[in-house]
Amino acid sequence: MRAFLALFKREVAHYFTSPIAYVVLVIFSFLSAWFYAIGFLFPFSEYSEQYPMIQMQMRQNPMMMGGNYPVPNFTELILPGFYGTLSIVLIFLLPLLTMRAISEEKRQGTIELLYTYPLTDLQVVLAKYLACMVVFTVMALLLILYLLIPDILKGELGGVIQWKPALSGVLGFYLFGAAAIALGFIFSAITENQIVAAALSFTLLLFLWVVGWAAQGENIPEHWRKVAEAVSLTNRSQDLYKGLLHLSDIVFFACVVTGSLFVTMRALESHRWRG
Amino acid sequence: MIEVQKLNKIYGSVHAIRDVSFEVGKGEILGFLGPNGAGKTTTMRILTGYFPATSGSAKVAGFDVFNQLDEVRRRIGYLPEQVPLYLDMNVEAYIDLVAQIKGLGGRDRKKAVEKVISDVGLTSMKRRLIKKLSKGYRQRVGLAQALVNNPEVLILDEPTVGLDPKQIIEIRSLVKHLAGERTVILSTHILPEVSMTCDRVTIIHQGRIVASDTIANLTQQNAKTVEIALTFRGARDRVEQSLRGLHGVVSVREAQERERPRITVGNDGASTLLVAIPSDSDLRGKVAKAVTDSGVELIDLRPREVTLEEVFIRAVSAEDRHEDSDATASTLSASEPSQSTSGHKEENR
Repeated sequence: MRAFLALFKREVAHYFTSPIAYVVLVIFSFLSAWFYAIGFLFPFSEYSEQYPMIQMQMRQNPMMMGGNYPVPNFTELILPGFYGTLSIVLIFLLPLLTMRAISEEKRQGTIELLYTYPLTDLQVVLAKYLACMVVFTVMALLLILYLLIPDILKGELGGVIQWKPALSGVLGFYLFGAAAIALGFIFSAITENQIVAAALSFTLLLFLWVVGWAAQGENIPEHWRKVAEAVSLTNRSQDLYKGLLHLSDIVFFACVVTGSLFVTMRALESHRWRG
Repeated sequence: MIEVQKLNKIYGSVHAIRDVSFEVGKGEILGFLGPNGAGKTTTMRILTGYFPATSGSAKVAGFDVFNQLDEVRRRIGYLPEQVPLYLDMNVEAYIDLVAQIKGLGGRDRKKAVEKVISDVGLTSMKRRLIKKLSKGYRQRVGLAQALVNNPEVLILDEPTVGLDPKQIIEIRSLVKHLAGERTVILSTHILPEVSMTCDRVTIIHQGRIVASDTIANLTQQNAKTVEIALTFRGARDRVEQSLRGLHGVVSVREAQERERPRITVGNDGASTLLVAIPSDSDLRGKVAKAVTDSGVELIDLRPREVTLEEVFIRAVSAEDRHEDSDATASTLSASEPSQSTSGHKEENR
């Protein structure tokens, strides 16, 4: 346990002593702030993509109106789209966090010492994974900050937050990121080259996004559509973003995380028989 | 302390080490000598549990490296050839991290870290980032991380590779000094290093152990006969004849180029004979007399010391002749391409 904690701390420190965590955090803050501004703060401005949709929804559902002052239900109208957009941002950003997690140690040879210290592969992989999750947790906490703003302003922006579905969305975002990071770890463990690791994990995440489009295709056989729907990371998180907690979705993400980390461990171990 | 029995390691089609067996007693320093790509690193990696052998068994401090790897890992300190360190950390933080990984805690850890840093002479550098350190200092950090848990066994893979001459001397004396009660295996392809630091030598070539003994035995310091190198100007046959007639002389032969003593004052037209005489009787005077009596000019007479270099070359070339028919011989030397090539680069820099 002491060894694990020491390694974990070192990994967290390593993220924050190199520019990579800051770059990812800054990019994420900037992009998320941009989409937040469009979606939340100016829902009725001409820049808002949601504008026609909101107008239409309000016409159909007068319950969203509060007297003369329109109070749209943010949680229902805007949050799912906001989370969805941010998970696409994650597809681009998370490979940057995971690419060097293990490949850097392989390239520099420091993995040789890790292999000969009294450590198990599980300890090494978990320490690195949880350290990466610390960085990602900072990103997820930013989301909660965004949710707090309309709550503090009590509808002055033109909307209020319903906390339960909103937090379900944060959970979905977190699970999505946890799975994406775990998948990225596989590629970091199988190559010494960070660029290759990043490119491969980016490709896989992109594929697991676009495969969801197949679920909407009309000419696709029913069973393939079901498969596409089931494996697409973005599709899987959609319901959580809407505030629908399905056990199956949570189990799905948990399986992706444990499965990927298992494969990562096997990849680490492979040097023993590959020589 | 270390028992290795019939180890084999096969990488794909490359048979990196074959039937490697040796033993190292407690407190001994074993020099593991061999050309680049001979299988030194492979053997050491098996001992440290980096990867398992294809067949054979190895025990460190009484624990099997296959079944009781964790116990073995707690008892060894390992310094890989490339000295891989976390370059973004400072010396003290790094050694402290390793101490924690190796399971040291609390006050013991603090003391151990402080002690090992001062032992390797890094106290003034302990707040420096490792990436700012010279190769010699990095090597010291590497030694410190190996030593921090006070291991019974120390395994050092080419600890002086890529260092400048002054650093090499420093690291050698450090190794010798720090060895103390520990059992040490030190690999190298530099011969003097072995004679300077080690008690015993194991020579490995193309994956096989070709010689294994104390340095004294290998260099024939305890042999029953000693050779005397005679250098003279004049007719060789006459000298040879009269020496053969001398009572007690075991054998007489012409010296090969590398066996000739290095005489710095003119050596023109001189020939050298090697005369073997029993080591328990001093025939030098008689030999000298026999030479001068045969009418030649004796210019040098000295007991010939067998250098480790000769032992090495003899062992290795005997093995080469033996291996000539073996088709895999050529692939064997390429068994550690990454280590050997990068090692060379380091040296050439």
